[in-house]
This record gives sequence, structure tokens and C-alpha cells, in this order.
Amino acid sequence: MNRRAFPVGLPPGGIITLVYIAFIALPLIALFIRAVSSYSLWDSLTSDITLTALRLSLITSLISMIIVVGAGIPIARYLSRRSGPFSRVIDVLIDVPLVLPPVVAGLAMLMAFGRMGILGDALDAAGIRLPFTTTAVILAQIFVSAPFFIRAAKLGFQAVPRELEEISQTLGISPWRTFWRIAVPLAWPSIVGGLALSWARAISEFGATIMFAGNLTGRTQTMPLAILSAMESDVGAALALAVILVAASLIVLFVLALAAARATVPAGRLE
Amino acid sequence: MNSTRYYNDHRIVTIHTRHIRYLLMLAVSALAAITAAACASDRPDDAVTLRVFAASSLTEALTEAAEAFEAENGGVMVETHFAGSSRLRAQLEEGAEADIFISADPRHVDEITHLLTESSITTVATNEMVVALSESDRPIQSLEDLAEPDVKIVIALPDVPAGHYARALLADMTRQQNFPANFDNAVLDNVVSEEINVRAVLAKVQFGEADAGFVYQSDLRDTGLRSLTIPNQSPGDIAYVGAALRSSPHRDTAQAFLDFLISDEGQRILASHGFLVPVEATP
Repeated sequence: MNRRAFPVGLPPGGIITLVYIAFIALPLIALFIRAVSSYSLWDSLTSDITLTALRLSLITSLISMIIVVGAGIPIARYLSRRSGPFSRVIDVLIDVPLVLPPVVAGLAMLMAFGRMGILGDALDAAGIRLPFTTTAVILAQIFVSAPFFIRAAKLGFQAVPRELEEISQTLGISPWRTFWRIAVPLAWPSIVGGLALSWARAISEFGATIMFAGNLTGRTQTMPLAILSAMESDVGAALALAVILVAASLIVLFVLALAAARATVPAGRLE
Repeated sequence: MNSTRYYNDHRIVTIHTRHIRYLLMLAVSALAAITAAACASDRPDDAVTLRVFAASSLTEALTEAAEAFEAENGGVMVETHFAGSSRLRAQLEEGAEADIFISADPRHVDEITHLLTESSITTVATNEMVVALSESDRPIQSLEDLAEPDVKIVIALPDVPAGHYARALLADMTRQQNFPANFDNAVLDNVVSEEINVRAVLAKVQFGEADAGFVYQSDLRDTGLRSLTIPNQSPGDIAYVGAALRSSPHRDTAQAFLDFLISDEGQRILASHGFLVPVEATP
């Protein structure tokens, strides 16, 4: 027996990883312990406000992701094939929401789409009022989360060897079919990975939402806003909501990780 | 056997030592960075930093009062933290370190008297609620208009003092002859957002997104917003109550700051920001 095997066998990267995992996990574990020991956990879990906020969070983030993926795949594909000063500028612009504090994003959206905003009169004439609506929640989520998806999907498409698609097309397969049968499967892990990041950002979105959409149960109060609101009255309820949000998020991320892992199999078969 | 293996693994052991050196370096630099960050805000030993948790409506007034107090008391630095009183109370209950708590609602002080030095509890100012009106094209001329369909109203959350007072006043109005039955419910149905503090309510009105919002009259200073007064408010109904924290290491300085707030100078500053004199609530 070599008693030194453990520290010797673990490279420095491994040790730092362990420290990092502890740093991440400890607050989450503490959150769970406090929430479970809080007498109001069960009441909070089944309360109307919790269920309403959870439903709103899941529905809005689902709609956001449908739009982000639907628009993001063509954008990512387009950008993956471009190189030049113009597309580099677009690349930077697409990343701008990543560096904006969310509250600033919400403020900027108000200045554009609010009643007094640049487009306010035009929207008003069309009978559209965005602030304080569920639509505003979705727009805020798209604004802050889309860059994560577009970035990842673009890298995925860039990694697809061009020759594969060219061969496919010389074999008489349509560009559309080639895209779906070659590019998408090969880029799939990046697409799903980007989707996971993007969804995580959307469901945790808070600053832009409270600025642009406000905070009203059933209409604009998503889970993060419900947690913030509960903090004003009952820390126990806030903890319970937080635990539910973490649990729901872990489930979705786990499912997406499974989807990404499964997808690599057909992609591998192509080679 | 063991020793042989150990000897054979000499190469790995060497790397191992290097790893430890690397990790040590990492740990030392992390510690140094944290210490440096912690020291950055430190003052000379004799300086006292007073940390004041105060209701968000006090933002400008208390910032000015803190500067005046610092000017009068060399070596004292006042650090202010503003939020809804309910949030501040929750933070204090969770063990946040502060020397003074000033709530816009005595209830939040009463709930945590076990954390406060009771002798220090002082009413430092009073206030009144008003309805701030945005410059929207939506014409609101009277309180009754707030119950019209499609008026967009913002209000603070029920546990935030400004939200609590607003709801209580609405219920009051509904009981009066000159308001329609169910007036409060009609107004609350028009609420489009419940904000986490009174300043967030004000912001939504200032941006013109909401037609009207329930705020304190002191919040309207320098905003140029129109407002509607709410009738039948007794002086002292809305009272700002301050107290020193029992856990504070600077209780004397904390008491001195509270005394300063009710002194002529302190009251002059608070009044210049629209706050009213501290009076006991009339039962």
C-alpha cells in the first residue's frame, strides 16, 4: 500500500478543481440545509405564488428558447461562414448583452420599447404596450440569453469540415438536406451546450425583467422576482423558492446534458 | 516493499513537491489578495466607521446628514446602505453587521427589538403618502380616477412600508363616504407592478411607464412630478424610527448619530428633503 497515492496521483489541476467544486457546492448545500430546516418549506413549495412563478418561469423561458434557437441557428450558421471586418463587428455586437449589467439591459429596453421610448409612439399606434406584460419578460430573457446560444452554435458550425458538406452536395443532396444531415448533427453538442447556457441565463434573468417588465404575480413575476419579493417578507419562503429554482434548473441542465451526450453518437458514426 | 516503491516513484514525488509549491503560491497569493481587499477600506486605528441601514426613501436626506455628522465628528465615517425597510430587517435578522437601523415603519423595529438597544429607539422624522403622477397622456385628476379601467399603477410590495401604508390608506378611503364601494380593490386591480422599495415605484412613474404610483411626498422633491394628496393622514402615522444595534461595537457613536438626526441641524437637513418633524402617532 502506498499511502501517498492519493495526493501524488492527483495533479494540481485536480486539487484546484476539488477546491473550486467545494466553493460552488458549499453555498448550495447550505441553501438546501437552511431551506429544509425551515418550517415553511412545504407550505412554500405548494403555495400559489410559488407554483404561479414556477409556471411563468418555465413557460416564458421555453418560449424564449424556441425563439432563440429558431433565430439563433440561422444567425450562427451565417456568421460561421463569414470572415471580414463587417462580420467581426457583428460578432462583437452580438456579445454586447453579455457585458451589460442586466439592469442596464432593462433600462435600455425601456428607452427603446417603453411608452416614452424611441419606438413608444409607433408601438402605441399599433396598439402594442410592452412594459408590464409577459411579452416584456420574454423579450428581456431573449435579450440577455441569446448571445450564449449564438456564440456556442457558431463555434459548432465553424468546426464542421467544409469538405463534408461539399461532398454531400456533389452527390446531389440539396443544401437544405445537407445542412440538416451533416452540419446540424456535427454541431449538435455545441448547439445543445449553447442552449443549456442560454436557458440557464434566461431562467435566472432578473435585473432586466424587473426594470422592463415589472413584478406582478402571474404576469411578470418569474422565480427570481418571486425570490426577491419573498425576501421582503419571509426569508424562509425565499429559501424554499430558491431551492425549487435550483432543483428545476438542475433537472433541465441534466436533461440537456443527456441530449448532448446522445447526439454525439450519430455524429461519430458519420466519420 | 513500500520503501522501494516509494523510491521508484521518486519522479512523481518530485512533481508532487512542485505541485505543493504551486498550490502554496496560489493559496498565499489568494490570501494576500483577500487581505489587501479587506484592508483597502480600513482607516487609521482611532477611526470609527458607522454603518447605517436606512429606508430607501431616506437616500438623499441621510447621505447629506451623514456628511454633516462626519464634518462635526472627525475620525467618524458613516457608511450608508439603503433598501426597503423590510429587506433591511431581514438582512439584520440574518446577521448583517450594522450599527444603526432606520426603518420607515415602526413595525419593522418592533419585530427585531431583541437585536436593538431599546433605549436608543428614536423617531427621527415623519412623512406622508401621496400619489405621484407621470407625465403620460393619461389624465388623472383625482384619486377616484385611479379606479378607472386601464390605469397603470405601481405600488411597493405589501411588506415594504410604502406598500403597507398605501394599502392601509386605500382601505381607509374605501370606508369613507365620498369614495365608491370597493374603491381599494378597483385600484389594486390596476396595479401593474409591485416594487421592492419606494424608489423603484418612483422610477417607474418617472420613466412614464406607469400612470401613477404610491410614494412619500418627500420622494417627489426635485422630480417635478405632479401628485395627488391623500386625505385623512394623521401626523406621525408614517414614522421613521431609528435604533442602535445591540451588536454594534460603536454604540456611543451610533447614539450620537441618532441624537444628531433629532438635533436642530439634523432636522434642518431632513426638512430640506421634505421630511416632517418627528411626532408621536396620535392613537
